[in-house]
Amino acid sequence: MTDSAPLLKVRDLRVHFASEGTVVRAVDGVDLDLRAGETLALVGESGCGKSTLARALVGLNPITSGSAELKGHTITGLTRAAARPFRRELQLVFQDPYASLNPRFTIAQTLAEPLLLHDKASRRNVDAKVCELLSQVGLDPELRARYPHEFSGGQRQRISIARALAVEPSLLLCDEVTSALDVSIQAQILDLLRSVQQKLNLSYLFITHDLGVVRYIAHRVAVMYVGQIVELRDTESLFESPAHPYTQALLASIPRVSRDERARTPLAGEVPSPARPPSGCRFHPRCSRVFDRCVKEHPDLYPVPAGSSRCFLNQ
Amino acid sequence: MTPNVSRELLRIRELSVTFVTRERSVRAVDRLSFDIQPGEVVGLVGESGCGKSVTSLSILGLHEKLTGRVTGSIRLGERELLGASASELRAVRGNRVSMIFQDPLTSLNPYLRVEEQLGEVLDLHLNLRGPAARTRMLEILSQVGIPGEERLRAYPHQLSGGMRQRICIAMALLCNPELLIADEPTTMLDVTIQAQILELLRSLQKQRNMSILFITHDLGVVSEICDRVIVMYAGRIVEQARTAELLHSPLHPYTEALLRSTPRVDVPGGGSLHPIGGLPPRLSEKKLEECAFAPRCPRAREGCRNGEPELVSAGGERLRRCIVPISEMGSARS
Amino acid sequence: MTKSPFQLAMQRLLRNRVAVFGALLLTLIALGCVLLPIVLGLDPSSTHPALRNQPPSARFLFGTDGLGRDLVARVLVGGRTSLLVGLAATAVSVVVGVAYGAIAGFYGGKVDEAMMRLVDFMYGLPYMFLVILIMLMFAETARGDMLPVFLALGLVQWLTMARIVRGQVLALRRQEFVLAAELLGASDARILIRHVLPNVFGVIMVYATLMVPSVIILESFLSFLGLGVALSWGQLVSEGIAVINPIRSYWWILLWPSLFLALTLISLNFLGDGLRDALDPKGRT
Repeated sequence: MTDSAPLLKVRDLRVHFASEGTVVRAVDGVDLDLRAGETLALVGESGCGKSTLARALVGLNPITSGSAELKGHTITGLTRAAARPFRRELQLVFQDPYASLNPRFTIAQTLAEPLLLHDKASRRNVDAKVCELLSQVGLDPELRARYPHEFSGGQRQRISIARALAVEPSLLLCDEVTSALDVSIQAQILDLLRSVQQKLNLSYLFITHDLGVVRYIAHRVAVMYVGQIVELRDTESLFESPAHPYTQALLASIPRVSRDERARTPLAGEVPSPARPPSGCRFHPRCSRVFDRCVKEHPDLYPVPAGSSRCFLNQ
Repeated sequence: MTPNVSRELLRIRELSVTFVTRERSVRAVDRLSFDIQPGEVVGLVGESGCGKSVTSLSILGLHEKLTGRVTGSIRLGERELLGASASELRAVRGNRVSMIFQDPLTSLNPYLRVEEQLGEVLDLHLNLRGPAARTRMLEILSQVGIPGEERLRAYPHQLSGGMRQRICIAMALLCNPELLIADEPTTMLDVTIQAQILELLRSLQKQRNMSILFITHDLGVVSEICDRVIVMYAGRIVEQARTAELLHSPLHPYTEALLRSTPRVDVPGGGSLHPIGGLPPRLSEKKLEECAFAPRCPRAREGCRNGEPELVSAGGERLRRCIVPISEMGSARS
Repeated sequence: MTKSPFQLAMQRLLRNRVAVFGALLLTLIALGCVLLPIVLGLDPSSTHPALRNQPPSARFLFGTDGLGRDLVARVLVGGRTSLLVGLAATAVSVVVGVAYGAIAGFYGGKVDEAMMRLVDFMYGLPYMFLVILIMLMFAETARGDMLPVFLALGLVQWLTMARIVRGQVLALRRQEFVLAAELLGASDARILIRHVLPNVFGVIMVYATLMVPSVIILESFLSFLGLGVALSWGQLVSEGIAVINPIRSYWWILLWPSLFLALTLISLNFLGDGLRDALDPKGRT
């Protein structure tokens, strides 16, 4: 990676909702940078805020405070009209392949829409461009006159990816895009995403709960817990020597295919709700290495090799 | 392992389930045969559409809900379940054979408190009511790791996913079933909670010497909990072996391909991923002229198109449905 | 070879024998009312003083009424009015209701709340009262003009349509493909018209079909009360009831319009149910 200015800069982003009398702190102070051609994975369990963060970046959720900049332009806190020029740069691919495509549009119509909307094609050559897009994602262009219900989940995800690529974005947000797919199909989609990234120098913000996928596709990983990033590392460093106790517990919990007898016990307790985050360090109720300070004080992100970790042990 | 003389708990022979719609017939399960021994955990593995869920629903006669046509034999101990009367099946369900499902939210009645749901099972099968029932409920809840009176009064929506699944497990175990069918019970849970639930199932299984039929698509989970694994593809068994053997030296190209297309957490870079090309087959009623996996198989050869291979023994308890010589498996593909 | 969701729904509809029967019956009745009087040269208003209150005969298949008028002619021509009013008033309620409900559902939040409060308020008003009021208002200015009738009835029915459409749009609004269109930078109008409404169309069709019967009944009731503007089945029914007495029963004067009314309503209901099943075979909505 060159040290060019980051493509995406997120600073102290917070997304809070009011719900049933309490404040849900879904995203509570997130900083991150993403460079061109890089894949940053956002991992975490329920309530960690990864999906909320992605949706806030594209403007589907309102932001409570903080900022995000894309190529130097602020993209948060904009009106619909002001955000429109950035719709091109930042696209989101969703998890559910069955709800992501308009059932009444043919594939050609679905793909033509972004092309025409953003002047990537004229009425005369839009069909040719649609064929090009389909080939790019590994689908037969002959299929473009068909309707979504005739395609499998994996194929629909390819079409959703094609639609996102149509506007030639610099950053693609992938929100659990392979979670609803079978393992063998997931592998196809991951390969596709990797090859497209290389060809187009795309950046990905890749949201997932599956750490195996993370290791395969991400350059860097941000582990989230109850609205905050608790560890941000280069992928291999995270897996080889996780710094934060939560990351360690997460890695230890994953069922492995080749495994000798475990001597570990699973992480106890429930994942806290972002409406009632624990005091001090949010992980302290479940942490096996907790001490007094953890209950009262809230740790910052401290530098560790190849990244940072939000734990007093790393201070 | 107990010698062959022991009586198997569940004996399935030539089970076929066909769904008939106006457009076509779909053979979801095709002449399936396997056994489950008492105290054994058997994994049923495959991707969507392979027929594993349909198989599990058929055991308890729940296939009627899916309007399927079922033939074959499902024998629980002495009793034949297929074609049994409704009252016979009701006596078995929740009692000798229990089931837990993927989504704990929809498995529990949102309008009933926990104590009412547990109470229903105790009333129906054990004729237990009042204080005796209550004692049993508290006992079972503490066995599944959620002790305390206050849980009994709770409604499902007040509980987390992990807790709901524990309640479902508690309900399933109230009558000390001989067989627990678990259909993807941890798929919708967070990773750390999944680890807790798997641990719980493992310890309960050992304590009670209960058999489990564990349905999943996740080979990692299989490794954690199953003694033996059955791999399904297009409604048929393609391989069967003890867990460690299957995962370390698979003898069917599909099992092999499945392992190679799963990203690895414990290998740098996630390992090299080899997707399986193409799509799963469309299941129809017609007899296959070739091996169902042949179109996508990296080891396919001439003979694969000459009719479906038989399921043959591969030494010990191992079974495989493939004509590729065992000596070739495990080597690099052409 | 490839079928759009709409074509698939039509296929399912055609396989539903009850719905097809309803559709055919409806068509038969409609064509009969429109064409037969012209083809057979029937006149609903010409009187035959010598042949008053005659039971059905070879010459007058449905009999005659108190003024000796041919009931066949009256029922068929009356049918034109009833059917026309049913269709037109439903059309009014669909146009107004869909527009209103779509906007409320699409924008949500305070806009939705305000708009639906108004609907709730109007629901609370006694609508027959309103309809009668409207009819009386226009009675002086537009004698014999059908337009007030359409408006009056349509403006009462749109409330239900608005609620239904609003619910559907609210749900669809959160669907990923709609969000994707928004993320592509499509304008609100475009999203609403090209993405949301076509997917609500099916539900609108179903409810519109089921709304026609209630409009026809409303119109019949108005006629029954003497507020109708033209010859319709409702008016004929009211005439039929007026001549019921314990001594002589002129049953045919009441029977035929009632029968036609009932058959029309039944066939519309069959068709509506069939449409609902065809458009949503899994029963999700």
